[in-house]
Amino acid sequence: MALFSLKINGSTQEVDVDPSTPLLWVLRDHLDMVGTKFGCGIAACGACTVHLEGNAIRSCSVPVSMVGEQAVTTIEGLSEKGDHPVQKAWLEIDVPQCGYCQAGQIMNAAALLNQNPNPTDAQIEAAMSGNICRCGTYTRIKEAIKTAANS
Amino acid sequence: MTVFKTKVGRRSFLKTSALAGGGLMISFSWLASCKPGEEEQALQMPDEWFELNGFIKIGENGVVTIMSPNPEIGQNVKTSMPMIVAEELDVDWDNVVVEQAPLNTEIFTRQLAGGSQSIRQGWNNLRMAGATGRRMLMEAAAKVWQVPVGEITTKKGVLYHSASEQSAGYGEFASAAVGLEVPEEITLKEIKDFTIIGTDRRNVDGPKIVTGQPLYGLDYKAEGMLYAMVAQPPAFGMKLKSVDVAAAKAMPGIRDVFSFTSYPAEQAKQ
Repeated sequence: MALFSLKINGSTQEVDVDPSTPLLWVLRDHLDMVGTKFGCGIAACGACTVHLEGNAIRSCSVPVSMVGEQAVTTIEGLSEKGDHPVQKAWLEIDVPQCGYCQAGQIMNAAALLNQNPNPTDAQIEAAMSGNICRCGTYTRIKEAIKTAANS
Repeated sequence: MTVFKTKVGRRSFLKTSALAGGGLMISFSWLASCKPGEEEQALQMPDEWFELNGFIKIGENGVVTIMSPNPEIGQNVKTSMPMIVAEELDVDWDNVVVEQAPLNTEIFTRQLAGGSQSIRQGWNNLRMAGATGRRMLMEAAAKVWQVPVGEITTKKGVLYHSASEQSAGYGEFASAAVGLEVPEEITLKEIKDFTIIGTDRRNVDGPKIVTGQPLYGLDYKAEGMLYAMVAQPPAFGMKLKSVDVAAAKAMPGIRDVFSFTSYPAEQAKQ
């Protein structure tokens, strides 16, 4: 066990965990932040996507010891009132079905738009290809990303 | 108009109504309404809920809670099944809050997801639930207004008696409706008169989903709850030869490690 001081959603959180614990389980089990989902555990599905200094990472495969001083943003902290342009576009286009993968989809899309405010279809497909949706909401995801880009 | 006998589910409606007669639920929270749009509006929750049947609770202020009977697994039944109840109850969808029903097959009948059957098999029961609730509200109003129930009409959660120029929201008669006998016969809407069924309504859980609020089994914790994980063999037909659990058991937080056979019949044969 080791003490870690993490910057999460603008505040500092202390946790005493095994250094190899994936960030996902620190969030879910130790900090009760369950908005970030467990999907595959091997960085192959995108459900656990969070931001590390604004970049999308798969939190299931990043040990807490690698986080250091970098700011972590989760779905709970993407916006204060759920009104990030991506969240608003997601509701406008009515993207979610079961919703399980959507926290990861939204975080990945938000990171994409941070880096590329006007992505082409091909760029959206490339950036989002690692986020799997069992309900098949892909066409609406793409539409919502374009809606968010134009807002 | 088509008149239907309420024998389908009538027994369960009676049961729940009897249950609900004594117990009304006191609400203390704000929930997002089904109203679509960027500005998600919070509905003012009522002080009291009146349960008309297992599917419907109406607050004194006219806000309606509709129970969604089946598991939501992305087929959007948590939105579409309550829409059917709301249609026959004749309420404004913007005034509806959807709640996931508990497991109670006596009231909700087929509570499972599979085979694209939720709407097909739920259709009659959901319409009956809504229409029965509407009829009971009409009867409650007819009693107070002292007019024939057949002269009462409804629209978007409001009862009307045009001849005497009276009208009242469902909330005003919800309490009186709870004590009434479940009607023997009810009238279902004609398909051409549908205003909710067949229209595009957004996922009622959308706002929760996009803000990461807990909705899934994995998100809940109970006092003393443990997590179990099954390590499956890599291929069908493989059998466990031996397992050394010492190393796994030595890890922090591990309560137990054990092997088991998932098909007792197979085990019995051996």
